[in-house]
This record gives sequence, structure tokens and C-alpha cells, in this order.
Amino acid sequence: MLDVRRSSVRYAPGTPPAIDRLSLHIGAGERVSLIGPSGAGKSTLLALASGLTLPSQGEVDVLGVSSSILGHRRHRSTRRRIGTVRQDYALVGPLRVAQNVAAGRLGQVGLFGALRILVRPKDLGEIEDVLQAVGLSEHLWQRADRLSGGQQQRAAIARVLHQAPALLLLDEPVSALDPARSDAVMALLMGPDPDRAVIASLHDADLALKHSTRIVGLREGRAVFDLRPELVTGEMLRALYHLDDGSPT
Amino acid sequence: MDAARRRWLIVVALGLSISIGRAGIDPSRLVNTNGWSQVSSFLAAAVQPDLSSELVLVAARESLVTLAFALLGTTLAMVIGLVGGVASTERVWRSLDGSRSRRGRMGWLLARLSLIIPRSMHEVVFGLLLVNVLGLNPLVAVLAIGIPFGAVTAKVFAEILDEVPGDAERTLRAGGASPMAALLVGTVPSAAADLLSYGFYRFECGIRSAAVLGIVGAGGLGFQLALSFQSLRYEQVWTFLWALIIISGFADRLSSLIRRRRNRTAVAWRGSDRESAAAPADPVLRSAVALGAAAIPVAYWWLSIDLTTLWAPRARQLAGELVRDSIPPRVGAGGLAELLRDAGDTVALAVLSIVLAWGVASILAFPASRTHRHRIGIDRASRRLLTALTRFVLLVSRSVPPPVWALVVVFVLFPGLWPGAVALAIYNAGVLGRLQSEVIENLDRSPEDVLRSSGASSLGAILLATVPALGGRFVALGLYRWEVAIRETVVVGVVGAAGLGRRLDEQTSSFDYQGILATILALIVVTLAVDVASASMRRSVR
Repeated sequence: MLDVRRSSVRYAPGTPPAIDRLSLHIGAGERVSLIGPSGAGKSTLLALASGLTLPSQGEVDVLGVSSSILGHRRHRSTRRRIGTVRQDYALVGPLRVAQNVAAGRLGQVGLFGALRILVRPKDLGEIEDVLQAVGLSEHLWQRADRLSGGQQQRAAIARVLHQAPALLLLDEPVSALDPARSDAVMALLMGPDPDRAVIASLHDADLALKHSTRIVGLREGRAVFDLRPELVTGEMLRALYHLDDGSPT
Repeated sequence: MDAARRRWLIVVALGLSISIGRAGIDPSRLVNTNGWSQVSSFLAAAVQPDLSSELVLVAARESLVTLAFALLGTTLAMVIGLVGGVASTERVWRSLDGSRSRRGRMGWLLARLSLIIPRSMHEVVFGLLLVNVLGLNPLVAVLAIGIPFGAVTAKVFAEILDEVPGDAERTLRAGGASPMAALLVGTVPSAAADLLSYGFYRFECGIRSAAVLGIVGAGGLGFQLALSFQSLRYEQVWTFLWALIIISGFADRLSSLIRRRRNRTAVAWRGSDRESAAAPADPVLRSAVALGAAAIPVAYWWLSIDLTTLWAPRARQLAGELVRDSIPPRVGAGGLAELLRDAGDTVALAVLSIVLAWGVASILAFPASRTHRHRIGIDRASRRLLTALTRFVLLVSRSVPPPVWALVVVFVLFPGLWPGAVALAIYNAGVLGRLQSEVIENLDRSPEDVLRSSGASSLGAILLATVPALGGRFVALGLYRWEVAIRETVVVGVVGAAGLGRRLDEQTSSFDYQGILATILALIVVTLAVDVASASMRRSVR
């Protein structure tokens, strides 16, 4: 599903790399959580996996396609199978929630379908179901920019669920939700589906341990550990988030 | 003052001296004192227009025709503008990771280039060409307004779209959406209100254009106006002029109301936290759009438009003939030297008219602005009266089409550069004065208040605090109008003003299509050169 081979990302020359010669292979059915302190490279790794950022070194294959050519028109069918939830939600403010959710399938509908979304989206039944699942069904026709932060986040999740991608990339998907809701939404996102791979960056290590099949601890752009959750100890977590150890080895 | 600004100042001073030199300054050879009686009888007729029921009925009917031209022309412009704007934003041509491929650069360049030529041609020039293909058909006016306005609108739309944050669009593209679909769903909705409010500004301009097109034969108020003028029936002329003043007054009010509300919400929205504040939907804009949309089929029916004439064999045949007759372009008897001289005169005409208009408008803009707080030494009621009066003068001067001003001015000025320059100046002073007064209304006046509260006189505070803050924006508006004026020189050519407009007029009367093509090409080159110069000057005052 995702194959990162000795890749680095450097945003500006002379700065420390956001991702540093990282290698990572993720297969179908895996539920991977990326944890680590701020600036560890979690968001960059997700951007790398979605093709929005290209590695300055090394190679990244997404769903069997090199990310350097993933942006080409002929690989749109591949991109359709990649879904992202960004930290800033990236909803279309003036559009209704239903239209935003419908836009999850924009890759499948073409230009005429895009116009149709702007008028009145089809598959309204499915859209309602998915909004029901994230607890947002009563806001179907509300403007997205009128929603609270947490509601916007759930709308973005509904959009990606409606897309039903094979590779699901989640950047802090429950950061604006209360604990009970976080748990329910994580269960929904990480739910069993053997054909789908899910990669989520999470700042809440407990949530990560509970819902994942694999935990990748990132620090300064490198994987400190890559283990099944039951093998991750409190000691490892303390070391991962430890503030003092700032010098790269 | 930096070097670029100083350089431009020298260029402007030089250009102005040359223009004045070309136009001449000897009053005895410029002013025809015998003509004043004609001017005064024309102006006197303003207060006694022909209000016979018959004529009022004609004026009402023709007002609807003019409005219908403007509405359908604007609608077409919005469609062209949306498609062209989407095609010429940079972001649709960028690849997913934000880089630009060779193909992307080519596509972007092609989209931009294809809009340049229609943008540099005045509506009347389009009307002139289209009437040869479609004959006397209401579609001529609609297309003549829609095509050049569409090209201008596309440029503005592209700029508006480029300003919307791209997160949603990028996310949709990363999920497999095509660049166009992602832009349409991810970005266009966030720009829609700005796009629509610009559309109302275009509608307001469209009414003025429809009137001018009427004068050159397309029908509506302009046409009736020209007929009455030819028979010197000034009372009738004024009936039609008042009708024009009323409808453009309404359109101006609507468009500036929408823009003012838009500015306010945009400031409120962008000035605060993006997550907490939402750009509210504007009920005024929404009802205006609904009304406009409902009026489109009515206008279509009122003008009895038949779209099939566009692809009828006759139109195709005539278009073919037009192309055959005009290729290759030919400069004509006077040779290249004369063409260059006329091109120079066109620039001089635009320079003179804008310098005059800018000077007058910069003064009138102050009493015309609705910020009543800082008027000097007169009571509230007189202030209001002064404001209303100035606004009315500005409205009249921009509602009366420039060719009409030209016909009036030519009573007292001998043919040459001046009558055209003065006519365009009167018209542009009306437009500029309004835009400048809006700038004053939107200005932050706290620096002025600080000076006043520390004992400065009102006038002193305005001169020291407000005028410097306005300077750059006033100059930028003047330059923008200069770009428009260079296109408008064509419409005062009808009175034998000067420059390429007069040349075009002569060639049209003698059906010299090869000459017409040469003149249009020269016009395009001059217009583009002025656009480039103006853009560069505007950068230096920013």
C-alpha cells in the first residue's frame, strides 16, 4: 500500500530535514498510528504518502505508483483510492455539509458531476448514513463554515468515509473531539477492513495504542520504534516524548 | 521618492506636454465662440424635456431594450468570465505537489493570451464587426458587450480565485479529482460572492455600453438619442437622457450598495479568526442575483432574440466574406507614418482626457463622499445638499454617453484632439469621481482625527493626514481609467475627434475592410502598450 524507501524531506536548504532517511512499508489491512512529539515529521510523512509533498531524497510508492508521477492525470484513478483528513479539515466553507461530503467522490464523477454537487448532490441517502455515523446528521444542510471546530472535523471525516479509499491518511483526525467521541470516531476509522490500510498521526498515545495494530514512534524525522501496540512500553513513550534529548545522534 | 516613481513622473510630464502640443493651445484657433448659443440651448432643454405621453412611452420601451442589452451582455460576460477565469488561474495548471510542468506553463500562457485580444477591443469595435455578419440584430449588442466584458471579467475572476486559500482544492485533488472539478467544488464557492458582486459592477458598465452601442446603431435609448440629436430636437434628446440617467443611477446605487456590504463583510471575515467567523451570505446580494436571473428570460423574450441566426448559413457566408475582404490588412494611402501619427493622437487623446478628468474628479470626490464628519465651516443641511448635488453632477456626467458629450463640445471647440478629449474627460470625471469618493468613504480617518484633536484646522488635517493616504489610490484609479480611456477613444471618433477612432470611422463609411483590420491591429497594439505602462506605473505608486 505504502512503501517509503530511505526518503528525506527538507523544506528549506540548510534546515534539519523533516523526514530523515526514513524507510517504512505498510500493507493492506494494517492500522498504523504515528506518534511522537511536535515536529517529529508525522504530518510530513502523511503529506509524502498523499503525493502532496515529494521526497527530496529516496523514493515513495503509493498503491504501487511512484509518488513522483502520482500527480499525473493518468494516475487519477490511483489517487481516487487515497483519502486524507487534514489537520485544518480543508472543507469548502460556503458549501453545505452534504455537498462537502459528496465532494469526497469528486474523483469519480467528472466535471458534470462536480456541477451536480454544486446544485444538489446525488447519493443523499449514503451521505446521510455516513453523517449519522459521525453524529452529524442533523447538520446536513448547514454551511460548513458555520460548524464548530469539532463538527468541521467530523464533516471532514465523513467526506473521507464517503470516498471509501483503500489508503486512509489521517492527520490528527480527532484533535478537536471530546474523549468519548474521539474513541467512537477512531473505532469507525480504524474499523476492520482487510482491503484498507489506515495511517493516522495522533498526539494521544493511549488512543493510538487502543485502536492500532502497529505503532510507529517518530522523532526528528526518524522512526525510533515500529512495534505492535502490546510491545510498546511506558518507558519507550517517555523517551519518545522526552524534552531534553534534543541533539540528533 | 524612489527612482521608478521619479522616472514615471518625468514620462508623464513629457507625455502630457507632447499631448498638449499635438492638441494645440491657441484659444482663437480652438474655441468657436459662435457655438455657445447651441450649448446653452442644449443645456436649457435639460429642464424642459419633451414629456408628451407618446415620447415618454418610447423612452420607457427603449429603456427596457437598453437594460435588456446590458443584462444579457453581462450574463454572457459572466459565463465567459467564469470559464476563462478558471482556465487562466495558475492553480489549475499546477501539478499536485505545486510545481509547474512545461505543459502547465503552456496551457496557462495560452489561456491568458487568448483573452488579451478581446480585452483590448472596445465594445463598439466588436459591434462594428458583428453588424457585418449578423446584420441589424439585437444579438449584435449582446455579443458586443458580452465578449470584451467577458475577457475583462475572466482576468478579474482569475485574480479573485487565486486569492482563495487552496487547502480544500488540494485535498480534493489528492483524492483523485481533476484539476477543474477540484477548483469548481473546492474554490469557486468561496469566491462566488465576490464574483457575483463584480458582476453587478459589470452590469452598471453594461448599461453605459449599451447606450453607446445604441448610438452607433444597435437600438435602444442610444439609438433614439442619436435620431433626436440629428434633428436637433434637444427637448427629445433630454427625455432619453433623463431615462438613461435614471436607469444608470439605479444600477450604480445597487452595485455600490452590494460592493460596500461585500467590503464590510470581507473585512470582518478576514480580520478575525478563520475558524470562529464565517463569511455570511448576503441577503441583498442574494435577492439581487435572484431578480437578475429571473429577468434573463424576460430580456431574451423582449428583444426577441433568435440564437439560430448565429449559425445560419447567411451569417457564415457573411463572416467568410468579412474575413476575405479584410485580409491582408492594408495601411492605406497615408502609409505607416500616418497610422503612427494617428496612434500617437489616440494616446494623446487618452492622456489629455484622463488628466483633465482626474483633476476635476479629485476635487469633486470630497464633497461627493458620504462621510459627513469632517466638512468645513458649513452646517449639516448645506453639507447634505452639497453632497447630493455633487453626486448628481457626477451621475449626469457619466450617464450621458461620451459621443453625446462630444457632439455638444464640438459646438464650441473646433474639430481636433480637444473636443474628443473634453468629451471623454467629462464622462470619465463622472466615473472617477464616484470611484474616488468610495475610496474616501472606506478610508481610515483616525490620523486626521488625531491631528484635529491636537488643534489642527480641519483643512490642515485633511491636507496633512488624509490627502497623502489617498494619493496612491487616486493615482492608481486614474491609471486604470487611462487604460479604459484608450479603448474609449474609438467612440468619440464619430465626431471626427482624432486618432485611430476617426480613422476607423472613415474606413467604416467607405467599407475599407483591409484598412479597418490594420486600424484595429494598431488599436490593439496601442492598448496593450498602455496596459503594460499603466501596470508598471501602478506598481510604482503602490
